[in-house]
Amino acid sequence: MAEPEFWDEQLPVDMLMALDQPLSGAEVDLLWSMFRSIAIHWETKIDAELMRSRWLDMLEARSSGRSDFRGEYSNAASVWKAMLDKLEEPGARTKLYGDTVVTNVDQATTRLAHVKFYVANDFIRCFVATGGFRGFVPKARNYTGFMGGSRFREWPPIRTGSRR
Amino acid sequence: MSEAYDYVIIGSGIAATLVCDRLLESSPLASILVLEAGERIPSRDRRSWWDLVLARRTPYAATYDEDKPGAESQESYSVGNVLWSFKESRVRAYGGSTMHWGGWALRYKEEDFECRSRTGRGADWPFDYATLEPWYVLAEQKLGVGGDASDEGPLRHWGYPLPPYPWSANEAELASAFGLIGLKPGHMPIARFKRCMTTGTCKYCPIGARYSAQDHMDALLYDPAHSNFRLKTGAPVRRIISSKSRVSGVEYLDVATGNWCTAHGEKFVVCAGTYESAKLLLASTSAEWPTGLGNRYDQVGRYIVTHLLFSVEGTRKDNPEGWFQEYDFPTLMSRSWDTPERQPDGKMFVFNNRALPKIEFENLMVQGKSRKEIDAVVNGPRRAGLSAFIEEFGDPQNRLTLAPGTGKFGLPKTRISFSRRNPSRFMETVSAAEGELARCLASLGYERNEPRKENPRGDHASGVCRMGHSPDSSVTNADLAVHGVENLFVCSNAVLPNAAAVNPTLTLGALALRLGSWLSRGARP
Repeated sequence: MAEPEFWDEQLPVDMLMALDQPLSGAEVDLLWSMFRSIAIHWETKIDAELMRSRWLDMLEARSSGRSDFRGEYSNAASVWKAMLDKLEEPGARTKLYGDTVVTNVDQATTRLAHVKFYVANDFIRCFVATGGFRGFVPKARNYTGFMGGSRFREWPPIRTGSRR
Repeated sequence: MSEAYDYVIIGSGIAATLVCDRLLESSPLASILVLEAGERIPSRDRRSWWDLVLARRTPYAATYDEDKPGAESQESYSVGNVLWSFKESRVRAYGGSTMHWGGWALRYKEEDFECRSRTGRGADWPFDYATLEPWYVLAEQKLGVGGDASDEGPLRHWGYPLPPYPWSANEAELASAFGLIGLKPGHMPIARFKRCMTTGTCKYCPIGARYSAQDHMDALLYDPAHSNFRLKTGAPVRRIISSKSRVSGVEYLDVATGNWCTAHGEKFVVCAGTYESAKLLLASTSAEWPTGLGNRYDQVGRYIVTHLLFSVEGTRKDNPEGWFQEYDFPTLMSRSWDTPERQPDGKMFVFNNRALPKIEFENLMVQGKSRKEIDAVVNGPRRAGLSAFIEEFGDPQNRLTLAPGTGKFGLPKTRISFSRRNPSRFMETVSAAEGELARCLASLGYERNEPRKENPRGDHASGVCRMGHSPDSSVTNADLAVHGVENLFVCSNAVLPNAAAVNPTLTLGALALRLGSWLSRGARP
């Protein structure tokens, strides 16, 4: 009988306890490559590099306090690395974002399901909110969570119609 | 433990903040104690904001009323013929409901101040629109309201401090059809201009752009000139202590220590929102006031009223431009049905449904939809909607009372009895208006969706300590002083004699500035 893949290992559905230390640089780099794959998977032509500072802001904000996600992030980095090693980037990307759907916490019973529910789904939401919506509607200017602009700017931060 | 102050303010929302703003402007060293039952919600907090963006979770959700009809734990009961909804209608925390409000900042109109005289229903205000107009101007400045002075509305002697937001593409299209049903389109006046980056997360602004009483009061608290200004959170006030016609103090629980404390003062202002303002008076019984302070004529808690929200939605077959609502607030509105002619049957305030058209890319992606499937959704059926508030009228049979037991914060539970005298006629009026809104949508190719049934909500409730000339038909006088009590004032939506058709917050702000100015000068405004 074949050895189960690392990402198929069983885990309880509860959020993984955060280790009392910051994420390592290697983990952050792996997570970033996981985030960047979203733009490619959905063929958005978005330059994810422009989102990096806001993605880091999210990662930092969710890495402390109540519901500290560092345990999940650490698991996600390990799973993503294992998938990259075994499936290479296109295969890992398709498996995570295309083949694996986890929308309910009760389904988060394996390492991979934890990654999808607690990390990848949030990365998707972060991607859309930090500009990814334009990958689907290039003319769109604003979206829930996007810093669209301010009243001080010369152009409106939304698609407008005539004033009257 | 006992303390003494010039002013004791109960509550820390917009009314309390603007009263304090005026008091401290006039007398920076005035000793003021603000008592807030709830706690401080983190403001401009990145983690809280990301939790909203990623998980649709707000940091103040736990302060909402429990609203589970039939559950033993419910702290708010609806017992009339019409279900009164408590759901997500008020934030009980430092800053009050400005922690979650939409920032819609509309003035009442001239005829709203003469409701009884004009319709034979509801109540008149003890003064007219012209009396409050200068305070509206100041309130708009304090709140940073942007709007278009050329839009329909009450008389204005000054423009808005800031320009309006333009209509979105979808709203401009809707506006083009307003004329068909007699509506003139206008721009929603909004108090969120200070540093707005249009994040679309108005339920929790990450940069404090929308007016928030907490941010405003923090600025007053951190001003070193205000060395006698105090705020105490976790301090629910259970009773006002009075002797004959004078208040000497309030009893509050220090939640952190579990100790009961008394704060004494010269003047007391109850700014605790509609429900708690009335409940506090009712709970403050004494030998002189056996049915509650200021309640000699059984007026406290009566006439609870709001304006019903109703909505019409429609769907058209395609969305070639991939439109979705790019703001989290409507910029299109109309006051063409908010007129004296419509007042006898209930004025209406029409606005765009801020949530439509909706495309939730992230949910489609989380569900594993492919690019092709998402493109089909983007250019597939598009929904749009129009909503309106319809004015209802204060009725003595509709009342708020204390319910047995205590709820969150150890405050008494709330019971509201709300019924309509002629519900079929009221709903006919609503149905006719819905039909008109549907006609507007139909002219743009939208087929009407199944209507939703709405119940009156507590967000804009008023009337339970209404202003008036006489103690046998009102609780407070024109200066917001409780009838028969010389140093007690109520400044919350509770004092508004009617609900009108528009959001009440700006009107409350104007009243608070007027009261604060008067108290600081020791003379009537």
